[in-house]
Amino acid sequence: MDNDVQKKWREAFGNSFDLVVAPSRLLKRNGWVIYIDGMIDRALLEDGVLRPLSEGIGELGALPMAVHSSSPLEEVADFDQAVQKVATGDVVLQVDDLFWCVSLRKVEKRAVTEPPTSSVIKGPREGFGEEIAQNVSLLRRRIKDNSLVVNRYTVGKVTQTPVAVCYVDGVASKRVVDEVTRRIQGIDIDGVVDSSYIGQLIEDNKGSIFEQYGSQEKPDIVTAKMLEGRVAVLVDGSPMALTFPYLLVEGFQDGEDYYRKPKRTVFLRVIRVCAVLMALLLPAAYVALQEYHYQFFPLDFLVTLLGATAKVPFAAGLEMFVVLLLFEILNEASVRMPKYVGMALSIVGAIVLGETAVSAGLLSSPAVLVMALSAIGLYTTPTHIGSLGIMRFVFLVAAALLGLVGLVLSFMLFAAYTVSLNNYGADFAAPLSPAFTRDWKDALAKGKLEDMVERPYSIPTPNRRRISHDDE
Amino acid sequence: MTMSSHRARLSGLEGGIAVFLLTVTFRINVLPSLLAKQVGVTAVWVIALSLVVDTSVSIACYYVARLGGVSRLPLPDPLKRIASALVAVLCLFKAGLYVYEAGSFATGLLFDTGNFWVLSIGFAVVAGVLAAKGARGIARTSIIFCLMGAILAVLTVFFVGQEGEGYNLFALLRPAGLGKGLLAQGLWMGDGLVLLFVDLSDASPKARRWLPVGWTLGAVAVLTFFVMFFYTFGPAGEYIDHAFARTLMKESPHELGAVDWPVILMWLNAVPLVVAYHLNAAAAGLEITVGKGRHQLWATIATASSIGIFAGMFGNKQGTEYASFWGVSVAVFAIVVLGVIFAISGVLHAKSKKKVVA
Repeated sequence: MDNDVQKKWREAFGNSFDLVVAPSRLLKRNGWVIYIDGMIDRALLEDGVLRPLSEGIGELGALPMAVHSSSPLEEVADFDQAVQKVATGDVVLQVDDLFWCVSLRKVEKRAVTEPPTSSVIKGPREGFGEEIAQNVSLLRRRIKDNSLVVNRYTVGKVTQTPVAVCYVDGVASKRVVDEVTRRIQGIDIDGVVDSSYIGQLIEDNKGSIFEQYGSQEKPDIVTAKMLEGRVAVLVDGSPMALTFPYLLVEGFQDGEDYYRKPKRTVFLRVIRVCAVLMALLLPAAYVALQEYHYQFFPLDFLVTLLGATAKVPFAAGLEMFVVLLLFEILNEASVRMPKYVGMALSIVGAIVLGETAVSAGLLSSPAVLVMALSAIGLYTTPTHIGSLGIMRFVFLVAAALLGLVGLVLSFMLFAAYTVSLNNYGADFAAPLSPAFTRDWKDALAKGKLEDMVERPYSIPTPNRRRISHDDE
Repeated sequence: MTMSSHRARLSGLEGGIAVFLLTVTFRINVLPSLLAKQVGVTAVWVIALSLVVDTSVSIACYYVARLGGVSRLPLPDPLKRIASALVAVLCLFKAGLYVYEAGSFATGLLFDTGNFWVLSIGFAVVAGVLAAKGARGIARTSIIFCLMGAILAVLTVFFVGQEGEGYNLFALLRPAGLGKGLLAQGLWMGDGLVLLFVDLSDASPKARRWLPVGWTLGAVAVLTFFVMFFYTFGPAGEYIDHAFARTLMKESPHELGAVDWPVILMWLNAVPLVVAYHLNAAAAGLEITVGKGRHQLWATIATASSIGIFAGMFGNKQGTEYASFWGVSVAVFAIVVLGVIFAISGVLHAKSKKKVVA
């Protein structure tokens, strides 16, 4: 019998070495304790479960009462369910063909630290971690009200990943909440290893070049978004919280914008918009003007430009294409390389490739300058780097073929595409288009906090009012 | 929960921008000439009159749109279908003219490409894509255009900085034949007619008070437009010298300089949008003509693919001159009428087939 139980459990886990199937006395009966080594708190198991049970006497029905643990001892229906419980990190107790489980999980987690992707000078420095319960508690610390609802689901047939849908009841639109929940419950996948899996599986417009969900690593930002009517999704094992619906302008906003004076924020947002437009359009405009409309350059600049580009063997379009492609290769390589090699790579990129190519006459210095400006501009909105990086090439090719006409026509198509995107009932380009002018005070501009009387019209919400003035 | 593209249903703001784009943007071009005293007193009256008529047309059409557009007008069905077909044809015609202008030799020369067909097809494709997204899609893209225009205006003030040249910002499509009178202007009027096919009935309940006014104005506007259009139909062909490069107070496109780029950019943006409005209206008109009240992709594809051909027929092979205007126009009308007949027969055939299946 003993060997049979051992064998059955071991077979269920493919003879995994970390599975512990230990015989134990449970209420004066022969039983088994089964768990995965490293996933549970052994001290708690010893003191809270095994000792009281080994010393206790009574019927098996009294087993749950005998355990000294904050987590309740629950009965498990059959062996298969018991296997599932062990796999998720619970401790299973077996007596004959009866099973109980208790959660004594001890998950190694990192401390709450400032996330590297969004460090701030002013404002909270807490960032999400990989443990979902901890992440939920970070939200609860900020919304100390029972209107914060957290619904838990399990996604992934193999990974059994816990996913939490969080929203503020009465503020988030029920339609959005229901739709997010429906889509999460409908996911049929073997495993979820990061929140981006969930994001990609439940987003609208899956073929879009833009991400259709927000991802944030800071609880203060997620809280603010939930208070505007968005729904947040937390995934165990991922420090990135997802938010739905998602708008284009969110990429131009930063958490710190709300912690500093509005005028400074407005200035910085204008800078970001200009930088992104520069990043997106400058290479294409440079090629269009140089190739087809040189008369639009002021004369002095034209003379300088002609001098710089005279010896370059490539056409302007091809030259810019090569320069941008080189940048993308260098960027990709520097991200993948270890830090110390990355430094060397920067030197190689900047000095060897840049300087040498220019002095050898293969590339012109204005083209390298344009690429550098474009690259810097792109990094002012890290959220949109992927999509805008691609569009930069599209505009470049259109401008190289048809000059300003091509640039304008491709931009028109891009604008038409962007304004037609809609996710979870919100228009992606709102509040710019459709123009919700009331939301403009927190779009590219930034009004005073006391002026934010209403939640954004761009986001569906049943409760528009967020500030109640006493005089009303 | 994805948004479907609607031909109808614009917000008041979106409708307002449409009126702005279709009327003001294209007719305000006369202001610099007036201010610079480059045109005579007669021309001032001509311009004033044409502006008044055209603005009235747009506003009237806007009111009709607030009542639900052509499809909801209380007219007998056959009359409504004929009217819709006629306006659809005119919209198509106008779209073809605009595309011709956009791809004409002067524009091509301006951009040193000179390839009329490539430019024409480029504009037609972009306008077609916009039209496929419906009135709302065009309106929303127009909002982006207007915001970009505002940024451009600011940049112009900063970087151009030359007295008088700022007026270039408004010199969109200024007809070179300005002094030639109302005749040449006439053909370029009536863009606001496209609003007849837009449904703005949910914009504001207050608008319902203006029902009788809207109907009257709409009828007058449409009549005025038709009168002016047919009155100017023949002679206008001789006067049209509308290519963009000749509208910037320059003798030759090679005289263009750094100060002209804001105008060029704005014009390049405005043309696909206005063509898209016309395409959208033409497609909606065709749908009403064949008795379909909702968006039909075939109508958009048919109209979009037609305007490239029309544009080609307006000009000679090099795109330097307009071809024989009467001949081209008759051909255009014949093709569109044939297209409508073909569409109707297709729909009737489909209906009879459906009955058999049932």
